[in-house]
Amino acid sequence: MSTVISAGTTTNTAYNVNADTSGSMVLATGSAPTTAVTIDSSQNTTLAGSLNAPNTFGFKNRIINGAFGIWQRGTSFSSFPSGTNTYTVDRFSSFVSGTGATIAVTQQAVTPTTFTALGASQDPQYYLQYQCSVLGSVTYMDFNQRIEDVRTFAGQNMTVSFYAKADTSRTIGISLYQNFGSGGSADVSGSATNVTIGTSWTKYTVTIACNSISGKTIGAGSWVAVVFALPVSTFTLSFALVQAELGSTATSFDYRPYGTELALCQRYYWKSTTTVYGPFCLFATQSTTNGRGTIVFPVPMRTNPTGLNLYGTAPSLGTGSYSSITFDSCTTLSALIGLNGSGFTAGGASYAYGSVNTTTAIDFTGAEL
Amino acid sequence: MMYKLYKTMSGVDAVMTVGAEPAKSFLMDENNPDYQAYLKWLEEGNTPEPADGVTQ
Repeated sequence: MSTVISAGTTTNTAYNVNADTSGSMVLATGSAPTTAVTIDSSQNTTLAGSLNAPNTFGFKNRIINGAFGIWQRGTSFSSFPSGTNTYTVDRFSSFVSGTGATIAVTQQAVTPTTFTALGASQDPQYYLQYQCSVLGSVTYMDFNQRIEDVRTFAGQNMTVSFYAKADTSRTIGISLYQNFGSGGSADVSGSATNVTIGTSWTKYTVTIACNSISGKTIGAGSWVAVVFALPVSTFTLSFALVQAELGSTATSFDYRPYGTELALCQRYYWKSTTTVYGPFCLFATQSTTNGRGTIVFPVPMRTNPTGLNLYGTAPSLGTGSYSSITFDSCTTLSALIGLNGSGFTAGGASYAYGSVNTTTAIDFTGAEL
Repeated sequence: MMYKLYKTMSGVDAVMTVGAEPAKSFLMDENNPDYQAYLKWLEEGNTPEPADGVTQ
């Protein structure tokens, strides 16, 4: 049977409940009772701290694809040019300084109950493995995610939580890096907090006091990066369920619907694969050798893409023969591409489609951070 | 890898790689990493295939 508290104050060493005649109720906790929950006379509730439950509100995780469910670029990556931020699993990238290393970033399947047995509300389908088997002359390598807008977490506490394991005990450094965009203030690299990763899956939590942006100039395209600085040695590290949230408490992992997470990723990068006889593009034939078509993006991209890549076999054409595709122009919503070949009907139209027994894929570059 | 020049609808030059996977096509923008790689390729003494002409 529930107890109704309508007025007066009840206090002991564990809690303090104040339901006074003003109509507000305050719950305070701690040895020197501090307000934790306030319920006003209109039944509005205010929490002083974080709310943590298996099904708490969505979008608290500022990391996109933290469950490693989206792999549009592929499932295995081994080319990491020095001085370049190389994208791997969607939204995550790796910065490597130095050459001669053998690095493999790969998708790995999760054995069911691996993480629920450790307290997670749900097992993800995949985890990410980062392996360096030859160090070469590498002096730095990290695994990071850039998040739009340098105002993110600025001057506040950010809590990063993740599951990880290593081949042997390994220490990594976690920090927040601030970039102030085009024409903005110089980058600020926050202090790293070291975490030692053990050999079995364990949940790790780090709270970082992020640098303020007071007095800074912010230009277009600013970002912050949650950085995992990796050992400068050979190693194998695995990560799962990465989350970065406001505040000092690591709450339950923010599972979002697959379609929502995919759309969030596609703002920065997307890849369209045309299967056998599948549609690729309709295009107008302006001459016997040139045509132009439009490809509409699945979601508005962060900024206008500046190029395209064509993978696999060239598409077949309804009329004429294909020779190449060129990038004409883009907005954040669509691309105008040129289709070049021969045998077109000037002033007509044609279509491109997936060839027999092959696939064609196209992506647009330049919208990543 | 080889490059070929193209004219776009607006008359702006575009570049496409030839004989590489994936085939790349991109705008000549100095902030574009693909274009930076192309400039480096030019500095090495290479010459792209010429454009076929404006195709408006």
